[in-house]
Amino acid sequence: MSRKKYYNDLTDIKVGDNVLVFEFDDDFDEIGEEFLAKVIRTTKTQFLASISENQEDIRFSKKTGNSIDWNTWTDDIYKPLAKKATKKDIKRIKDTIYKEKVIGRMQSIRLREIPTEELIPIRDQLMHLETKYTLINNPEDIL
Amino acid sequence: MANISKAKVGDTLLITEMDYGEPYDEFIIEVVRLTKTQVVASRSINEIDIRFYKKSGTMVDCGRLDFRPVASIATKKDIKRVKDDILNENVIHDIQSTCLREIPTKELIPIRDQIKHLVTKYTLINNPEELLGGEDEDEEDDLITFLGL
Repeated sequence: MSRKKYYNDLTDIKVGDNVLVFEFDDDFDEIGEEFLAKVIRTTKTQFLASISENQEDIRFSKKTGNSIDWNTWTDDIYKPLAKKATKKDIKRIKDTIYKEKVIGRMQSIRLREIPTEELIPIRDQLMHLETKYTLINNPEDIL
Repeated sequence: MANISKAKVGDTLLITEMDYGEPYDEFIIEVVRLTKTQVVASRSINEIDIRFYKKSGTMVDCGRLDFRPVASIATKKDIKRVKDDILNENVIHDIQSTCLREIPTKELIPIRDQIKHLVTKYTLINNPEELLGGEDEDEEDDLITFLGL
């Protein structure tokens, strides 16, 4: 697959804009994670965006949206590519961050504090919801 | 040390794993055979026989084990407690292995709140001193604030 497909023109990017950063692998056909970064500085040909999660800065080419120093990226397998974040992108990422926060909170709760008879209906409710939404979204996982 | 010489085939033994003299974990096990000096019990999970000295209840050949098991004849109360613990662990395991990412956030939030409420309630009842330091509520989402969303 051609790398050209993954070019995004970002010549009009401004400080303060949010960009959606994709990670894709060596074959350019597998998108890894996506996250938001904020543009904090621009030059004639490049812009610097700060990744919210780790406060790490990353330089992108304005012309292509590709990361300039991707080979120094923490995970060499995935190479970042930026595009302007739409409202829909921001909402999706925001929802994902919030969902991960809710899940993280649930997973860190010390369930052993709670008596079994109180836990059983919660377990049943969660299992019911898991089955329901797997049936709706990924029925093949159940079949 | 517990004398288990009165144990009969079919009886349930309470096994307490001892960590440097302190009780660590406990489980129940059924007596399957008797010898003159030993009681042989079989652990249902892996069907491995474990031998205990009748006189002391200590395990035979536990030289290399970190947690030295000691047997006693299980009372009805012991059996109930261990079974309740097993059920509790199973329920907790079921909850923890649920794929929460399949479930929409709006469905998860009330369940999270319900669990938080229960933890607070039972911590207040059983370990109130743990709540005196205050709960770490990081409701302010740094990421969202950072992005100005």
